[in-house]
Amino acid sequence: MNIPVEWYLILSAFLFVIGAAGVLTRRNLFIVLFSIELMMNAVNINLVGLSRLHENLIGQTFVLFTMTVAAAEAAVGLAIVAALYRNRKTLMVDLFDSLKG
Amino acid sequence: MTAMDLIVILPELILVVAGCLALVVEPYLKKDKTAAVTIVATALVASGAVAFGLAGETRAAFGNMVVLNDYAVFFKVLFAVAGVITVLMSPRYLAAYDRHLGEYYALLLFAIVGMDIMAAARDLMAFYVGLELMAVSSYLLAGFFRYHARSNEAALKYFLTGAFASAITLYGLSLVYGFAGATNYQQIGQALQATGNTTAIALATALVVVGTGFKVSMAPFHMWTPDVYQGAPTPVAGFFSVGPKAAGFSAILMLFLTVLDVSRSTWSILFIVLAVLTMAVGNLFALAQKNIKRMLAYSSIAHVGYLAAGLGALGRADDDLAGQAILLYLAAYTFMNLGAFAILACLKTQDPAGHGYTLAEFAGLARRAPWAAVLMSLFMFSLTGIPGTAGFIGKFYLFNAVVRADLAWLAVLAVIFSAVSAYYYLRVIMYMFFREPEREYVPREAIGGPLAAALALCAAGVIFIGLLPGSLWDAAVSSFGNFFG
Repeated sequence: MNIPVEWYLILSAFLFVIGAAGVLTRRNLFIVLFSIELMMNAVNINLVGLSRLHENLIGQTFVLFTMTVAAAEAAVGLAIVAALYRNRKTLMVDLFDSLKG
Repeated sequence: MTAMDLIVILPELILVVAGCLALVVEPYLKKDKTAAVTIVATALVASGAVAFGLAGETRAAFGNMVVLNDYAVFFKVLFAVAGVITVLMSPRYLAAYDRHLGEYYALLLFAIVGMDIMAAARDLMAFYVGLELMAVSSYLLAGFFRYHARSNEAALKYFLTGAFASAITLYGLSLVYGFAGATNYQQIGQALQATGNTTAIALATALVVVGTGFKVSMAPFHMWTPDVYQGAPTPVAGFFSVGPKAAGFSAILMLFLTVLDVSRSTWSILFIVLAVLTMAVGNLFALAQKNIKRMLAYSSIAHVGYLAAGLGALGRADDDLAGQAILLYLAAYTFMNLGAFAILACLKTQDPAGHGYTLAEFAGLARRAPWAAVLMSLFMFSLTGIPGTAGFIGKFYLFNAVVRADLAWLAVLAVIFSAVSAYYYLRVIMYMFFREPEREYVPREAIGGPLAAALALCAAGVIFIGLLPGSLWDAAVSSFGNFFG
């Protein structure tokens, strides 16, 4: 059975919106990081699905780049979280409010 | 790939090699890190010089993923200059915090490589990798003082908003790929031209506007900027306020003029709305700031507002005047804003424990540190846009272009907001020269060494562009327009 490309696009749109909502509403830092990953993976599904639609490999190549970059970004993000946790002993984003004016 | 391809990325290769060298060399140095700083500064000068030497060439490399043309050269030279000034600002500041490490310089160089790639990219993949190289290095630079909770917090806020913005941009770009079936700018442009401006393309355009708007801190996506600038090390904050912003604009110009040219009317209106919002938010919030670092952060948002007005005008006009003016403005802005941050870095270096960047601490500075006060005044005049300084020239060309695009009301609004900005810029000068200090200050060692060189470079740039803008304008004119050739 051939799955139409719209299904991929709808799935990815849902994932993207769920991720964006998670970033905007969740307080726990790890959930926020997961939500960002969810958004990136929505993009990956989009790219692979569309690559299939256009019958070229550009989209799939792009996915390799985004996955690599997302991994690097996650590593840096976790490093920042670790440094922050050492100083503050909390992971609730809304408690990080020492910078304001 | 052929050997000729490497010439196109020669300025970046120099920076990558120097970054790795700095990482390897620095641990072997004892207290004196001059060797590492010299390597980095030399590499930046060499990178800028090589890029400058390649001006006039037009080459494409790596399957048309990156190009070398005057547009890329303009930005590569600009980034190298911003990098040199930042590097010269840093050694004493970092030493004062006992964090003078090679990683700092390596990250700075890698961020500049990412920025160079953004300006030279002609393929969505290359653009995305450049963007992320710049962003990931910047997150780490913001959190470079990892034992300070404030620096951590700045890094976290920068990381969360930056990654969120990247994801939004990328989603928009994936839709663009869906419509065009290609990631090469030229091919996308042609493919989209054939389909016409549909609602779906408008949606993709809006997503890219929001994502890139986050990166260059346009309101309402600006919330992270003041916090990040306040918490990040001062030279880094200065670098953020010019480097990644200029890189963001280089990519925005490229993306919207070539890839999304078909939806000109959509993005032009979006940028006009964002420009009005950004100018208002930046200028009005800056009025209330007692902390000079936060004030400069809001002021940088205000300047992004003026640039966004230029983008709106570019979408409306038939000529490239607004684009050329944006290039000129970015160059002028680099010198004046880095200069202001260099003064802050200098004051903080003199008194790491006591100085808090508050307005009150600037009272009577003219008597304690006349040179710092005079230079700060120059940069504040320039940021206001007083004639004779770089800021005036930038605003003059930019607002002129906005008027020529039949957006006179927007130019009037921008001028009104510039007048508002005079209040908070000139207030700093008033404090430095006419206010009595509230407490006694211990006399400090005068500015010297590399920091003085950084300040001299910024001041020279501001005055030179202010008095003789001709050559820079010519460079902006010849750089803008021929994106592929």
